[in-house]
Amino acid sequence: MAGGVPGPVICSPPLAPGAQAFRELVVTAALRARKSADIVALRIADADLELAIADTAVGAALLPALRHHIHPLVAHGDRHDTATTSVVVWSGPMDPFPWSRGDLGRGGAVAGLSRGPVRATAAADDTSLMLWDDEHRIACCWFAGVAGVTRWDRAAPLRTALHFALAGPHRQLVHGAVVGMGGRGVLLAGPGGAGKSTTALACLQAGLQVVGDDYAAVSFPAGRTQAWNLFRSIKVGEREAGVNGRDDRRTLIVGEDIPGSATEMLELSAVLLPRVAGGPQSSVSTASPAEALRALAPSTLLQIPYEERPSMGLLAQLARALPAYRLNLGADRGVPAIRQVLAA
Amino acid sequence: MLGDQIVHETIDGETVVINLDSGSYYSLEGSGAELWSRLLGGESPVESAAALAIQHGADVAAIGSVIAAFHRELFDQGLITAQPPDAPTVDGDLGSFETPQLHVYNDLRAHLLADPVHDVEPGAGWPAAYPAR
Repeated sequence: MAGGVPGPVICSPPLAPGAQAFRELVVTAALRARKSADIVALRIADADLELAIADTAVGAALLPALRHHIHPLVAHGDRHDTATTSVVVWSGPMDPFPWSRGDLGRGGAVAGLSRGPVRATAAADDTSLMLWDDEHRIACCWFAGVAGVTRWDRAAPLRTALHFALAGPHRQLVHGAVVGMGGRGVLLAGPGGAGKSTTALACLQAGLQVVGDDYAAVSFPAGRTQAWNLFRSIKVGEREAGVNGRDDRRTLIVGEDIPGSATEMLELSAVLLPRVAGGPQSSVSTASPAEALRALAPSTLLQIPYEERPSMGLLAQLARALPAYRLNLGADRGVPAIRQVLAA
Repeated sequence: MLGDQIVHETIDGETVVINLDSGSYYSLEGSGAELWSRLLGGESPVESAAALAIQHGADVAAIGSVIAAFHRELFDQGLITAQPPDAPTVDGDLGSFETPQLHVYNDLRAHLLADPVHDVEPGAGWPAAYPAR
Protein backbone atom coordinates (compact mmCIF):
# COMPACT_ATOMS: atom_id res chain seq x y z
CA MET A 1 0.00 0.00 0.00
CA ALA A 2 1.77 3.14 -1.11
CA GLY A 3 1.81 5.76 1.61
CA GLY A 4 0.31 3.22 3.95
CA VAL A 5 0.74 3.13 7.69
CA PRO A 6 0.27 0.41 10.25
CA GLY A 7 -3.27 -0.04 11.45
CA PRO A 8 -4.53 1.20 14.78
CA VAL A 9 -3.23 -0.32 17.98
CA ILE A 10 -5.75 -2.99 18.79
CA CYS A 11 -5.24 -4.96 21.98
CA SER A 12 -8.26 -6.78 23.27
CA PRO A 13 -9.54 -10.33 23.71
CA PRO A 14 -10.63 -12.27 20.62
CA LEU A 15 -14.22 -12.28 19.47
CA ALA A 16 -16.72 -14.65 21.00
CA PRO A 17 -17.81 -17.44 18.62
CA GLY A 18 -21.12 -15.79 17.73
CA ALA A 19 -19.41 -12.51 16.94
CA GLN A 20 -16.70 -14.27 14.96
CA ALA A 21 -19.39 -15.95 12.84
CA PHE A 22 -21.04 -12.58 12.21
CA ARG A 23 -17.70 -11.02 11.30
CA GLU A 24 -17.08 -13.77 8.74
CA LEU A 25 -20.57 -13.35 7.34
CA VAL A 26 -20.09 -9.60 6.87
CA VAL A 27 -16.58 -9.80 5.41
CA THR A 28 -17.66 -12.57 3.04
CA ALA A 29 -20.66 -10.50 1.92
CA ALA A 30 -18.44 -7.46 1.37
CA LEU A 31 -15.90 -9.41 -0.66
CA ARG A 32 -18.71 -10.92 -2.72
CA ALA A 33 -20.16 -7.45 -3.33
CA ARG A 34 -16.71 -6.16 -4.30
CA LYS A 35 -16.59 -8.56 -7.25
CA SER A 36 -19.38 -6.71 -9.02
CA ALA A 37 -18.59 -3.25 -7.68
CA ASP A 38 -17.28 -0.15 -9.37
CA ILE A 39 -13.81 0.22 -7.91
CA VAL A 40 -11.94 3.48 -7.76
CA ALA A 41 -8.63 4.35 -6.17
CA LEU A 42 -8.61 7.11 -3.60
CA ARG A 43 -5.61 8.98 -2.29
CA ILE A 44 -6.58 10.58 0.99
CA ALA A 45 -4.16 12.13 3.45
CA ASP A 46 -1.23 10.75 1.45
CA ALA A 47 -2.57 7.20 1.79
CA ASP A 48 -3.93 4.99 -0.96
CA LEU A 49 -7.24 3.21 -0.54
CA GLU A 50 -9.59 1.46 -2.87
CA LEU A 51 -13.27 2.26 -2.74
CA ALA A 52 -15.60 -0.40 -4.10
CA ILE A 53 -19.18 0.70 -4.58
CA ALA A 54 -21.70 -2.00 -5.37
CA ASP A 55 -24.84 0.12 -5.06
CA THR A 56 -25.09 2.96 -7.55
CA ALA A 57 -27.64 4.98 -5.61
CA VAL A 58 -25.69 4.74 -2.36
CA GLY A 59 -22.53 5.66 -4.23
CA ALA A 60 -24.23 8.68 -5.77
CA ALA A 61 -25.15 9.83 -2.27
CA LEU A 62 -21.69 9.30 -0.79
CA LEU A 63 -19.35 10.26 -3.62
CA PRO A 64 -19.94 14.00 -4.07
CA ALA A 65 -17.94 14.88 -0.96
CA LEU A 66 -15.22 12.31 -1.80
CA ARG A 67 -14.98 12.32 -5.59
CA HIS A 68 -12.05 14.72 -5.68
CA HIS A 69 -9.87 12.04 -4.06
CA ILE A 70 -10.28 9.64 -6.98
CA HIS A 71 -6.81 8.88 -8.22
CA PRO A 72 -6.57 7.49 -11.75
CA LEU A 73 -3.06 6.10 -11.60
CA VAL A 74 -3.48 3.19 -9.21
CA ALA A 75 -4.27 -0.18 -10.77
CA HIS A 76 -6.67 -2.66 -9.19
CA GLY A 77 -6.72 -6.39 -9.12
CA ASP A 78 -9.80 -8.50 -9.34
CA ARG A 79 -9.16 -9.88 -5.90
CA HIS A 80 -8.82 -7.97 -2.66
CA ASP A 81 -5.44 -8.48 -1.05
CA THR A 82 -4.48 -7.33 2.40
CA ALA A 83 -1.72 -5.07 1.07
CA THR A 84 -4.49 -2.77 -0.10
CA THR A 85 -6.85 -1.06 2.28
CA SER A 86 -10.36 -1.45 0.91
CA VAL A 87 -13.60 0.28 1.68
CA VAL A 88 -16.51 -1.72 0.30
CA VAL A 89 -19.95 -0.13 0.12
CA TRP A 90 -22.92 -2.29 -0.65
CA SER A 91 -26.57 -2.78 0.12
CA GLY A 92 -28.97 -5.63 -0.29
CA PRO A 93 -30.53 -8.20 1.95
CA MET A 94 -29.07 -8.50 5.43
CA ASP A 95 -30.46 -10.52 8.27
CA PRO A 96 -31.61 -8.44 11.23
CA PHE A 97 -28.62 -7.51 13.34
CA PRO A 98 -28.30 -10.00 16.20
CA TRP A 99 -27.87 -7.30 18.82
CA SER A 100 -30.29 -4.88 20.40
CA ARG A 101 -30.05 -1.12 20.63
CA GLY A 102 -28.92 -1.57 24.21
CA ASP A 103 -25.77 -3.30 22.95
CA LEU A 104 -24.64 -0.19 21.11
CA GLY A 105 -22.15 2.14 22.70
CA ARG A 106 -20.76 5.54 21.76
CA GLY A 107 -21.15 6.29 18.08
CA GLY A 108 -23.09 3.07 17.56
CA ALA A 109 -20.16 0.88 18.62
CA VAL A 110 -21.15 -2.77 18.82
CA ALA A 111 -19.40 -3.87 21.98
CA GLY A 112 -19.58 -7.60 21.25
CA LEU A 113 -18.14 -7.09 17.78
CA SER A 114 -15.22 -4.91 18.74
CA ARG A 115 -12.41 -7.13 19.92
CA GLY A 116 -9.12 -8.26 18.49
CA PRO A 117 -8.77 -6.97 14.93
CA VAL A 118 -12.42 -6.03 14.50
CA ARG A 119 -14.31 -2.82 15.20
CA ALA A 120 -17.96 -2.38 14.29
CA THR A 121 -20.57 0.35 14.46
CA ALA A 122 -24.22 0.16 13.56
CA ALA A 123 -27.14 2.52 13.23
CA ALA A 124 -29.62 2.05 16.02
CA ASP A 125 -32.38 1.60 13.45
CA ASP A 126 -30.48 -1.18 11.64
CA THR A 127 -30.11 0.87 8.45
CA SER A 128 -26.33 0.78 8.25
CA LEU A 129 -23.34 -1.14 9.51
CA MET A 130 -19.60 -0.50 9.36
CA LEU A 131 -17.24 -3.32 10.23
CA TRP A 132 -13.49 -2.66 10.13
CA ASP A 133 -11.38 -5.81 9.91
CA ASP A 134 -7.74 -4.98 10.54
CA GLU A 135 -6.51 -8.42 9.45
CA HIS A 136 -8.11 -8.08 6.04
CA ARG A 137 -7.55 -4.29 5.92
CA ILE A 138 -11.15 -3.89 4.84
CA ALA A 139 -13.94 -1.58 5.92
CA CYS A 140 -17.26 -3.28 5.20
CA CYS A 141 -19.90 -0.56 4.86
CA TRP A 142 -23.41 -1.88 4.44
CA PHE A 143 -26.41 0.37 3.93
CA ALA A 144 -30.06 -0.60 3.78
CA GLY A 145 -30.25 1.10 0.40
CA VAL A 146 -29.97 4.83 -0.11
CA ALA A 147 -32.50 5.36 2.67
CA GLY A 148 -29.79 4.24 5.08
CA VAL A 149 -27.55 7.14 4.01
CA THR A 150 -28.07 9.96 6.48
CA ARG A 151 -27.54 13.65 5.97
CA TRP A 152 -24.33 13.49 7.99
CA ASP A 153 -23.19 10.53 5.87
CA ARG A 154 -23.46 12.79 2.81
CA ALA A 155 -21.51 15.59 4.50
CA ALA A 156 -18.77 13.33 5.90
CA PRO A 157 -19.08 10.06 3.94
CA LEU A 158 -17.65 6.91 5.48
CA ARG A 159 -16.04 8.94 8.27
CA THR A 160 -15.81 6.06 10.73
CA ALA A 161 -14.43 3.72 8.07
CA LEU A 162 -11.84 6.33 7.12
CA HIS A 163 -10.92 6.79 10.78
CA PHE A 164 -9.83 3.17 10.93
CA ALA A 165 -8.46 2.98 7.40
CA LEU A 166 -6.25 6.04 7.87
CA ALA A 167 -5.35 5.81 11.56
CA GLY A 168 -1.74 5.22 12.38
CA PRO A 169 0.92 6.09 14.89
CA HIS A 170 1.48 9.49 13.28
CA ARG A 171 -1.90 10.26 11.76
CA GLN A 172 -5.20 11.09 13.41
CA LEU A 173 -8.59 12.32 12.27
CA VAL A 174 -9.50 15.48 14.14
CA HIS A 175 -12.72 17.40 14.63
CA GLY A 176 -11.91 20.88 13.41
CA ALA A 177 -11.87 23.22 10.43
CA VAL A 178 -8.64 23.99 8.61
CA VAL A 179 -8.15 27.16 6.57
CA GLY A 180 -5.09 29.02 5.35
CA MET A 181 -3.21 30.73 2.62
CA GLY A 182 0.08 30.19 0.83
CA GLY A 183 0.28 26.61 2.04
CA ARG A 184 0.13 27.57 5.74
CA GLY A 185 -2.95 26.86 7.75
CA VAL A 186 -4.67 27.16 11.08
CA LEU A 187 -6.80 24.55 12.78
CA LEU A 188 -10.06 25.85 14.22
CA ALA A 189 -10.96 23.62 17.13
CA GLY A 190 -14.08 23.62 19.20
CA PRO A 191 -17.44 21.99 19.69
CA GLY A 192 -20.34 22.24 17.27
CA GLY A 193 -21.72 25.75 17.22
CA ALA A 194 -18.37 27.42 17.92
CA GLY A 195 -18.29 28.88 14.40
CA LYS A 196 -15.99 26.51 12.52
CA SER A 197 -18.17 25.99 9.43
CA THR A 198 -19.25 29.63 9.21
CA THR A 199 -15.63 30.75 9.39
CA ALA A 200 -14.51 28.14 6.84
CA LEU A 201 -17.21 29.30 4.42
CA ALA A 202 -16.23 32.94 4.94
CA CYS A 203 -12.59 32.06 4.26
CA LEU A 204 -13.50 30.17 1.09
CA GLN A 205 -15.55 33.11 -0.15
CA ALA A 206 -12.65 35.46 0.68
CA GLY A 207 -10.25 33.42 -1.43
CA LEU A 208 -8.42 31.64 1.38
CA GLN A 209 -7.60 27.96 1.21
CA VAL A 210 -9.95 25.54 2.96
CA VAL A 211 -9.00 21.97 3.86
CA GLY A 212 -12.24 21.24 5.68
CA ASP A 213 -14.99 22.78 7.75
CA ASP A 214 -15.42 20.03 10.31
CA TYR A 215 -12.90 17.21 9.91
CA ALA A 216 -9.32 16.77 8.78
CA ALA A 217 -6.56 14.20 9.08
CA VAL A 218 -3.51 15.49 10.90
CA SER A 219 -0.08 13.95 10.45
CA PHE A 220 3.34 14.70 11.92
CA PRO A 221 6.09 14.07 9.37
CA ALA A 222 9.60 15.06 10.44
CA GLY A 223 8.62 17.56 13.07
CA ARG A 224 6.00 19.27 10.94
CA THR A 225 2.26 19.29 11.44
CA GLN A 226 0.13 18.79 8.37
CA ALA A 227 -3.64 18.86 7.97
CA TRP A 228 -5.14 16.89 5.11
CA ASN A 229 -8.50 17.23 3.43
CA LEU A 230 -11.09 14.51 3.87
CA PHE A 231 -14.35 15.92 2.52
CA ARG A 232 -15.15 18.76 0.16
CA SER A 233 -18.32 19.70 1.99
CA ILE A 234 -19.30 22.70 4.05
CA LYS A 235 -22.37 22.84 6.23
CA VAL A 236 -24.40 26.01 6.17
CA GLY A 237 -27.33 27.38 8.10
CA GLU A 238 -28.06 27.82 11.74
CA ARG A 239 -27.33 24.81 13.91
CA GLU A 240 -30.43 23.60 15.63
CA ALA A 241 -31.58 20.45 17.23
CA GLY A 242 -32.83 18.24 14.45
CA VAL A 243 -34.20 14.75 14.69
CA ASN A 244 -32.74 13.17 17.83
CA GLY A 245 -30.61 16.27 18.34
CA ARG A 246 -28.55 15.63 15.20
CA ASP A 247 -26.88 18.35 13.20
CA ASP A 248 -29.22 18.84 10.26
CA ARG A 249 -27.62 21.85 8.59
CA ARG A 250 -27.56 21.91 4.79
CA THR A 251 -24.47 20.50 3.12
CA LEU A 252 -22.84 22.26 0.18
CA ILE A 253 -20.29 20.55 -2.02
CA VAL A 254 -17.34 22.82 -2.73
CA GLY A 255 -16.79 23.05 -6.47
CA GLU A 256 -20.35 22.01 -7.28
CA ASP A 257 -22.79 23.91 -5.06
CA ILE A 258 -20.39 26.77 -4.35
CA PRO A 259 -17.36 27.98 -6.32
CA GLY A 260 -13.90 26.99 -5.23
CA SER A 261 -12.03 23.84 -4.44
CA ALA A 262 -10.87 22.05 -1.34
CA THR A 263 -7.18 22.30 -0.57
CA GLU A 264 -5.50 18.93 -0.16
CA MET A 265 -3.01 19.83 2.56
CA LEU A 266 -1.78 22.77 4.63
CA GLU A 267 1.16 22.99 7.00
CA LEU A 268 -0.38 24.01 10.31
CA SER A 269 1.05 27.01 12.10
CA ALA A 270 -1.50 27.62 14.88
CA VAL A 271 -4.61 26.36 16.62
CA LEU A 272 -7.49 28.83 16.86
CA LEU A 273 -10.32 28.43 19.32
CA PRO A 274 -13.32 30.20 17.76
CA ARG A 275 -16.27 31.49 19.67
CA VAL A 276 -19.01 33.86 18.61
CA ALA A 277 -18.27 37.13 20.42
CA GLY A 278 -20.31 39.73 18.53
CA GLY A 279 -19.11 43.20 17.62
CA PRO A 280 -17.95 44.37 14.21
CA GLN A 281 -14.41 42.99 14.22
CA SER A 282 -12.94 39.67 15.19
CA SER A 283 -9.93 39.55 17.45
CA VAL A 284 -7.37 37.07 18.69
CA SER A 285 -5.79 36.59 22.09
CA THR A 286 -3.24 34.08 23.30
CA ALA A 287 -4.53 30.79 24.68
CA SER A 288 -2.66 28.09 26.58
CA PRO A 289 -1.77 24.70 25.06
CA ALA A 290 -4.09 23.10 27.61
CA GLU A 291 -6.97 25.25 26.34
CA ALA A 292 -6.19 24.04 22.84
CA LEU A 293 -6.23 20.43 23.99
CA ARG A 294 -9.53 20.99 25.79
CA ALA A 295 -11.03 22.40 22.60
CA LEU A 296 -9.62 19.69 20.40
CA ALA A 297 -9.54 16.41 22.26
CA PRO A 298 -13.01 15.90 23.78
CA SER A 299 -14.97 16.79 20.66
CA THR A 300 -12.63 14.65 18.53
CA LEU A 301 -12.49 11.61 20.77
CA LEU A 302 -16.17 11.61 21.68
CA GLN A 303 -16.98 11.21 17.99
CA ILE A 304 -14.74 8.19 17.62
CA PRO A 305 -16.55 5.00 18.55
CA TYR A 306 -13.42 3.43 19.97
CA GLU A 307 -10.59 5.31 21.58
CA GLU A 308 -7.35 3.46 20.95
CA ARG A 309 -5.44 5.41 23.55
CA PRO A 310 -2.68 6.81 21.28
CA SER A 311 -5.26 9.23 19.84
CA MET A 312 -5.15 11.41 22.95
CA GLY A 313 -1.37 11.46 22.77
CA LEU A 314 -1.40 12.61 19.14
CA LEU A 315 -3.84 15.39 19.97
CA ALA A 316 -1.64 16.48 22.86
CA GLN A 317 1.34 16.44 20.49
CA LEU A 318 -0.58 18.77 18.22
CA ALA A 319 -1.48 21.10 21.10
CA ARG A 320 2.14 21.20 22.26
CA ALA A 321 3.54 21.81 18.79
CA LEU A 322 1.48 24.83 17.78
CA PRO A 323 0.72 28.19 19.38
CA ALA A 324 -2.94 28.61 20.31
CA TYR A 325 -5.15 31.67 20.13
CA ARG A 326 -8.74 32.40 21.03
CA LEU A 327 -10.57 33.68 17.96
CA ASN A 328 -13.35 36.02 19.08
CA LEU A 329 -15.65 36.07 16.06
CA GLY A 330 -17.26 39.32 15.03
CA ALA A 331 -19.34 40.41 12.07
CA ASP A 332 -16.32 40.13 9.76
CA ARG A 333 -16.52 36.36 10.34
CA GLY A 334 -12.89 36.05 11.37
CA VAL A 335 -11.19 36.41 8.00
CA PRO A 336 -8.99 39.47 8.80
CA ALA A 337 -7.90 37.97 12.13
CA ILE A 338 -7.01 34.67 10.48
CA ARG A 339 -4.98 36.50 7.82
CA GLN A 340 -3.19 38.30 10.65
CA VAL A 341 -2.31 35.04 12.43
CA LEU A 342 -1.13 33.43 9.19
CA ALA A 343 1.03 36.43 8.33
CA ALA A 344 2.72 36.48 11.75
CA MET B 1 -6.98 2.71 39.08
CA LEU B 2 -8.50 4.58 36.14
CA GLY B 3 -11.79 3.68 34.53
CA ASP B 4 -11.23 2.00 31.16
CA GLN B 5 -12.89 4.88 29.31
CA ILE B 6 -10.72 7.56 30.89
CA VAL B 7 -8.02 9.23 28.79
CA HIS B 8 -5.75 12.03 29.93
CA GLU B 9 -2.76 14.16 29.04
CA THR B 10 -0.86 16.83 30.93
CA ILE B 11 0.33 20.00 29.22
CA ASP B 12 2.03 22.94 30.90
CA GLY B 13 0.99 21.92 34.39
CA GLU B 14 -2.65 21.31 33.50
CA THR B 15 -4.10 17.85 33.11
CA VAL B 16 -6.99 17.31 30.71
CA VAL B 17 -9.06 14.23 31.45
CA ILE B 18 -11.94 12.90 29.33
CA ASN B 19 -14.54 10.43 30.50
CA LEU B 20 -15.53 8.82 27.21
CA ASP B 21 -18.48 7.08 28.84
CA SER B 22 -20.19 10.16 30.20
CA GLY B 23 -18.98 12.75 27.70
CA SER B 24 -17.73 14.98 30.50
CA TYR B 25 -14.21 16.31 30.47
CA TYR B 26 -12.08 17.93 33.12
CA SER B 27 -9.10 20.11 33.73
CA LEU B 28 -6.96 19.62 36.80
CA GLU B 29 -5.25 22.81 37.81
CA GLY B 30 -3.36 24.12 40.82
CA SER B 31 -1.72 21.09 42.37
CA GLY B 32 -4.27 18.87 40.61
CA ALA B 33 -1.89 17.79 37.85
CA GLU B 34 0.81 16.83 40.34
CA LEU B 35 -1.64 14.93 42.55
CA TRP B 36 -2.96 13.14 39.46
CA SER B 37 0.56 12.18 38.49
CA ARG B 38 1.33 10.91 41.99
CA LEU B 39 -1.93 8.96 42.01
CA LEU B 40 -1.11 7.28 38.69
CA GLY B 41 2.35 6.54 39.99
CA GLY B 42 0.79 4.39 42.66
CA GLU B 43 1.43 6.72 45.56
CA SER B 44 -1.07 6.50 48.43
CA PRO B 45 -2.74 9.68 49.74
CA VAL B 46 -0.74 9.31 52.97
CA GLU B 47 2.53 9.09 51.04
CA SER B 48 1.58 12.09 48.88
CA ALA B 49 0.65 14.11 51.95
CA ALA B 50 3.94 13.32 53.68
CA ALA B 51 6.03 14.24 50.64
CA LEU B 52 4.12 17.42 49.83
CA ALA B 53 4.03 18.58 53.46
CA ILE B 54 7.84 18.57 53.51
CA GLN B 55 8.06 20.16 50.05
CA HIS B 56 5.67 23.00 50.91
CA GLY B 57 6.27 23.44 54.61
CA ALA B 58 2.70 22.41 55.28
CA ASP B 59 0.85 20.65 58.07
CA VAL B 60 0.69 17.01 57.01
CA ALA B 61 -2.81 16.41 58.37
CA ALA B 62 -4.19 19.49 56.62
CA ILE B 63 -2.61 18.62 53.31
CA GLY B 64 -3.79 15.02 53.69
CA SER B 65 -7.31 16.30 54.16
CA VAL B 66 -7.12 18.32 50.93
CA ILE B 67 -5.75 15.33 49.00
CA ALA B 68 -8.46 13.04 50.36
CA ALA B 69 -11.16 15.49 49.29
CA PHE B 70 -9.61 15.73 45.83
CA HIS B 71 -9.51 11.95 45.45
CA ARG B 72 -13.13 11.83 46.54
CA GLU B 73 -14.05 14.28 43.77
CA LEU B 74 -12.17 12.17 41.22
CA PHE B 75 -14.00 9.07 42.40
CA ASP B 76 -17.40 10.78 42.39
CA GLN B 77 -16.81 11.84 38.77
CA GLY B 78 -15.97 8.25 37.79
CA LEU B 79 -12.37 9.06 36.93
CA ILE B 80 -10.82 6.60 39.38
CA THR B 81 -12.18 3.25 40.38
CA ALA B 82 -10.82 2.89 43.91
CA GLN B 83 -13.09 4.45 46.49
CA PRO B 84 -11.01 6.63 48.80
CA PRO B 85 -11.49 6.12 52.53
CA ASP B 86 -13.51 8.71 54.38
CA ALA B 87 -11.27 11.33 55.85
CA PRO B 88 -12.13 14.15 58.26
CA THR B 89 -11.64 17.75 57.22
CA VAL B 90 -8.57 19.15 58.93
CA ASP B 91 -7.78 22.84 58.93
CA GLY B 92 -4.15 23.81 59.14
CA ASP B 93 -1.22 25.54 57.51
CA LEU B 94 -0.88 24.54 53.83
CA GLY B 95 2.38 26.47 53.40
CA SER B 96 3.07 27.03 49.71
CA PHE B 97 0.86 24.12 48.66
CA GLU B 98 -1.62 25.16 46.02
CA THR B 99 -5.10 23.74 46.40
CA PRO B 100 -6.05 21.34 43.56
CA GLN B 101 -8.85 22.46 41.30
CA LEU B 102 -11.07 20.12 39.34
CA HIS B 103 -13.02 21.94 36.63
CA VAL B 104 -15.87 19.96 35.12
CA TYR B 105 -17.09 20.56 31.55
CA ASN B 106 -20.39 19.07 30.43
CA ASP B 107 -20.97 21.09 27.26
CA LEU B 108 -20.39 18.15 24.91
CA ARG B 109 -22.69 15.72 26.65
CA ALA B 110 -25.72 16.84 24.65
CA HIS B 111 -23.87 16.12 21.40
CA LEU B 112 -22.77 12.76 22.69
CA LEU B 113 -26.20 11.86 23.91
CA ALA B 114 -27.64 12.59 20.47
CA ASP B 115 -26.10 9.25 19.55
CA PRO B 116 -27.34 6.00 21.02
CA VAL B 117 -24.97 5.96 23.94
CA HIS B 118 -25.00 3.48 26.71
CA ASP B 119 -22.53 2.07 29.13
CA VAL B 120 -21.79 -1.20 27.39
CA GLU B 121 -19.52 -3.53 29.28
CA PRO B 122 -17.05 -5.33 27.03
CA GLY B 123 -18.11 -8.71 28.36
CA ALA B 124 -21.83 -8.05 28.38
CA GLY B 125 -24.53 -7.78 25.76
CA TRP B 126 -24.49 -9.44 22.35
CA PRO B 127 -23.29 -12.10 21.71
CA ALA B 128 -23.09 -13.06 25.40
CA ALA B 129 -26.86 -12.82 25.58
CA TYR B 130 -28.82 -12.74 22.35
CA PRO B 131 -31.80 -10.43 22.58
CA ALA B 132 -35.13 -11.71 21.42
CA ARG B 133 -35.95 -10.19 18.04
